[in-house]
Amino acid sequence: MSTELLIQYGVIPIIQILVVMIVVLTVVAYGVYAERKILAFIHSRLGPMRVGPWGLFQPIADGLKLLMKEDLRPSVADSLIFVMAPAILMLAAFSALTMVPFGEGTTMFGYEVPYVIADVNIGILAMLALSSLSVYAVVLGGWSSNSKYPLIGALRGAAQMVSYEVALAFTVVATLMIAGTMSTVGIVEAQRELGAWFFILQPVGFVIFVICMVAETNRLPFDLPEAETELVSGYFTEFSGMRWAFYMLGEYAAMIVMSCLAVTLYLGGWLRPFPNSELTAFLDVIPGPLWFVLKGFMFMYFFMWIRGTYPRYRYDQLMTIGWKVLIPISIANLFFTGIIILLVQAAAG
Amino acid sequence: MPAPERSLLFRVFLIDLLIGLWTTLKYTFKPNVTVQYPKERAAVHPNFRGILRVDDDKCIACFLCQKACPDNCIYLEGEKGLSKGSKYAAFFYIDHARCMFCGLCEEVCPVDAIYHSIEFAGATYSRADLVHDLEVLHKGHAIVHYER
Repeated sequence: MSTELLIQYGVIPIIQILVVMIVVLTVVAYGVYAERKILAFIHSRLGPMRVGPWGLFQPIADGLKLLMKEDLRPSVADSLIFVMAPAILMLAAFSALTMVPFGEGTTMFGYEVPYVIADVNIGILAMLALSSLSVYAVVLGGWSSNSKYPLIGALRGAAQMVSYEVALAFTVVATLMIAGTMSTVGIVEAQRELGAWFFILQPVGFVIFVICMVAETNRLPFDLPEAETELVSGYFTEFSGMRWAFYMLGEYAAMIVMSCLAVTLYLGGWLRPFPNSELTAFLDVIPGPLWFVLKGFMFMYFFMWIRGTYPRYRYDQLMTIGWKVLIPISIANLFFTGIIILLVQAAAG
Repeated sequence: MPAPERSLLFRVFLIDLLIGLWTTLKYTFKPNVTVQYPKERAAVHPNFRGILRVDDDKCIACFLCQKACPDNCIYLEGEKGLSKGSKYAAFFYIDHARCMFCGLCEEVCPVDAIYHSIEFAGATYSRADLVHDLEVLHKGHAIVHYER
C-alpha cells in the first residue's frame, strides 16, 4: 500500500514535472529559433541558415556561447539582488506551468496519471499571481544594476505590468463567472458541458485578454521596458551571459504560460472544436494533449507575428490604451456577463 | 500633423491592425529576396568597378593612368621592347588600399590594358597584400572561396 502511495504521490508527479520542464525548455530554446525564422520570413529573408541544416542547431550554439561567457557583474550593482532577479523570473514562469491542464489524464499500470501537475481549486488565481511575480524580476533587475537605462526600463515595466494586470484580471473574472470555478481542469470541463469554447461566449473579453497578454509579457508592440532603440535594452542592459539568458528564457516561458492560460480559458484546453457536436467527432483522432499544444503554438505564432507587424507604442499611448480603453471595456464586459448569467439562471428557474 | 480620424467601425473592430496582420502574413509566404552570400554571389552589373586588373601584353607604358589617378595609387616603370619604338611595363604596382575605384585610369588608357574586373572580394590579412604587382594584376588575385 505504501509503495503504491509513494508511486502515486511521489514518483508520478516527479515524472510529470520532468516531462513538463524538458518539453518547455526545448520549446523555449526553439522558440527563439522559430521567432528568428518567422520574423525573417515576414521580411522576405531566410533567417539562421548556417548552423546545421536550415540553422536547426542555432539554439544549441547560442546556448553554448552564453554558458561560456564571462560572468560579469557591475562593481556598483547590488550583487545579491542582481543574482536573484533573473532567477525570480524563471521561477515565476515555470511554477505557473504546474497548473496548466494539458489533457484529460489516463490510467497507466493501474495508476492515475492526470495530465496536469497540480489541479488546485484556485488554479487561475495562482497562475495570475505567479505570472505577475515577474514584475519583481523586472523591477529588481533594473534597480540592482545601478544604472540609468535599466532603472528607466524597470519603472516603465512596473507601471505597464501593473496597469495591464487590472484589465487582464477583469476579463478573466468574466470567464470564471461563466465557468463557476477557478480550477483549470474545471474551466475546461465547463466548456465541454456548455459545448462551446469560451471565446465564442466572451469575444470582447478574448480580444482584451490577448492584448493584455502581449503587454503582460513585455512583447512588441508593448516592449517599452526593453525598448532597444531608446533604452539600449531596458531592465537587462547590464546583464550578460547566462543571467541574460535567464531573462530571455523567462520571457519565452512567460509567453508559453500566457499562451497556455489563453488556451485554457478561451480555446477549450484539450477539447476539439464544438466538443458536444457529432459533426466534429472525427477530430478526436487528434489526442487531447496534441490539441492543447496546437492551440498553444497558435498563440506563440501570434506573438511572433504581431512582433513582425506592429511598431512600438509610445509610452503615453500605452497608458491611454490600458487605463482609458481596456479597463472600462473589461469592467463593462464583466457587468454585462453578470447580467446575462443572472437572466439565464432566472429563465432556467 | 494630427492623425487622420478613422471611422468608428475601423476603431472598434481594429480593422487597421487586421490589415497590417494580413500584409505580413502575405509576405511570410513570399519567396526570399536575399542572397546567401558566401554560398552564392549576387550578380554584379557589367559596368561594376571592381578590383583593377592590367593586361601587360597590351600595356605600352604610356604613364597616362598614373597621371590620371587622383589617389596616386599606380606606380609603373617602362622599358624599351624588342621591336622598334615599342615599350612595355617592367614594373606595375597598384595600391588597392588607396584606390577609390573612380575608373579614370580605365577611361584614359589608349590600349584598354588597365580595366576594372567585376571582382569585389579583395580582403587581405595585411595592408601590404593590397599592393598588387604585375603578376597579380595579370592573373587576378587569389580569392579564398567559402567551402562549406
